[in-house]
Amino acid sequence: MIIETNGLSKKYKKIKSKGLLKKEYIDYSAVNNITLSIEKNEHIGLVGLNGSGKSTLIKMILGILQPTGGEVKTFDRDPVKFRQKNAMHIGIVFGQRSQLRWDLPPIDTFKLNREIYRIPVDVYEERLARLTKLLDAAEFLYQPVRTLSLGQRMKAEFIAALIHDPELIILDEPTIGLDVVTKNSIVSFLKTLTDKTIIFTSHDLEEVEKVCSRVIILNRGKLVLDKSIAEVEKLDTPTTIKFTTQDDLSKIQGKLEIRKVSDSSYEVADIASDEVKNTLSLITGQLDIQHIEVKRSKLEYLLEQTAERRDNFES
Amino acid sequence: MSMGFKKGFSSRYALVFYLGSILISITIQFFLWKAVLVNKPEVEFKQTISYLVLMQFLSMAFPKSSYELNDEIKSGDMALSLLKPISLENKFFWEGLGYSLAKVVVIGLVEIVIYFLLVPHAVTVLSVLMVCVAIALAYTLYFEIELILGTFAFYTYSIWGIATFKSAILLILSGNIFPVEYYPSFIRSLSDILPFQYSFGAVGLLSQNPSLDLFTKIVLIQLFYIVVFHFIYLGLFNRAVKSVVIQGG
Repeated sequence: MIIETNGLSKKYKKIKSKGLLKKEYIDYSAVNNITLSIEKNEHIGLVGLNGSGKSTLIKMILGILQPTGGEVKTFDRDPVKFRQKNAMHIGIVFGQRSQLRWDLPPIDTFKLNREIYRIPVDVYEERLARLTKLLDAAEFLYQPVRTLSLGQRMKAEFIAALIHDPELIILDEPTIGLDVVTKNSIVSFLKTLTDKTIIFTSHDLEEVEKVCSRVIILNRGKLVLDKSIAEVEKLDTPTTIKFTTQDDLSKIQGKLEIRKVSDSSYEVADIASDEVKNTLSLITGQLDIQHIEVKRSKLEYLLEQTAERRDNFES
Repeated sequence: MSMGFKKGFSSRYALVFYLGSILISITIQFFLWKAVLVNKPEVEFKQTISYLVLMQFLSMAFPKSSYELNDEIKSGDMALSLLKPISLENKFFWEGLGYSLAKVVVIGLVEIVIYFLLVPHAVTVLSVLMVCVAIALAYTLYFEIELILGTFAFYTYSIWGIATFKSAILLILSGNIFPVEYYPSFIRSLSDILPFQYSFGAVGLLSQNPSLDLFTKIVLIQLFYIVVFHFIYLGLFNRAVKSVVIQGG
């Protein structure tokens, strides 16, 4: 077992109102009573809306946030007490933070990591060559970080995070803001890391489905779903068909519940899985279609449901 | 350490401008003290101005780790530093030392030449060695003070006010702007007890009166404060890290 949590919670005090001399606080549960375990070599997709507690959970697993309740063990140790010891076996990429030095080339950060993680020179050279090839990063390793594109920087971040061959890799929105080509190359790279335990957070749920073998959904700090991707795939979730046409919709209106999205763009939502084929035949048979798209992301549906439940709760 | 050195050299043009501002400052001080000590012997003037050049050197070379710590806390990059298998103290010390070395190469060497041109007495190898040891310990002591100040940023998220207060304290009690001997006796007595003088003024004093007795006294007090401040920093840091909040991604 790489990670084990039992009733893990983190509460903050948040300012409710602020007077001239006095502030009123309320307790806010960023993470609430989470129990889970993560085995070696699992690829975990940790998803949830903004503020759902993903980053807080990760930071408690890493030992940089002290839990206020429950317990967490990373590599069978208290991660707060053994933060530095655990760090030898962990690689981290935060999409919104950087371990590279802005004014120096990435290669200098790699060399620094070689010293910090005490990697023998020949092993370092071999890993650097392999990672550089896998991520197609050779051309920019000697350029100052300030001159790199976001995609190049993220590839360099990956090399810096993996140069010490960590057992556990934490990827917190590593593809945020990247173009589709760079995203795909990073996703392909991550799929090759089958001998590593990965915790991957992203708002791109297709990516999570591609990279991960198991998905955990958090909502308002609570664990609301913990299933393998295979199990998620088996869930009977409705499909949405989006299409663009200049035709008159009267031919199919009444047979389908059509919603206008924008000029010439329409959507048929909540189609049961056994109805998808018929609905598609109906649309393509009766209308001159310019573009059609079938959306079947189970994860997206589950997250949308989570969001709706939250909105209902708040209203 | 090499990261700090390279970082320093990557901004070498900024350091050249820094050198320019230091040369202007030394020139102003030269004429100011010439006017102040107009009726005094030339030796006293040279002693004062060489002392002040040495203080300029120390102020330039000493690390600004409190600002670096503060920046990391404000930006949230502290999360990444905490996840390295190396203590923050080690990281900031060695990087800061590398950066200081880059500053010494670009700026400090010029200041050292000016110092030796101005110093009125003969300089022996032993006195240079004693001053070098005192500077190394003064650097470490100042670094510990910087770390303690930087740690306050865990609570205040900005050390601007604290850093300004530190500068004021150093101005009064360290002797880095005026030689302590010109202060009233009660301030002199106070600065004798407090640690600030042992990062600046005491080194200047030793450079003017290099004796083994003075050297031993200064080094022992420096070592005492380094150990005490190290433990104060550890206590503050461990407490701060437990209450730290790093939110938002």
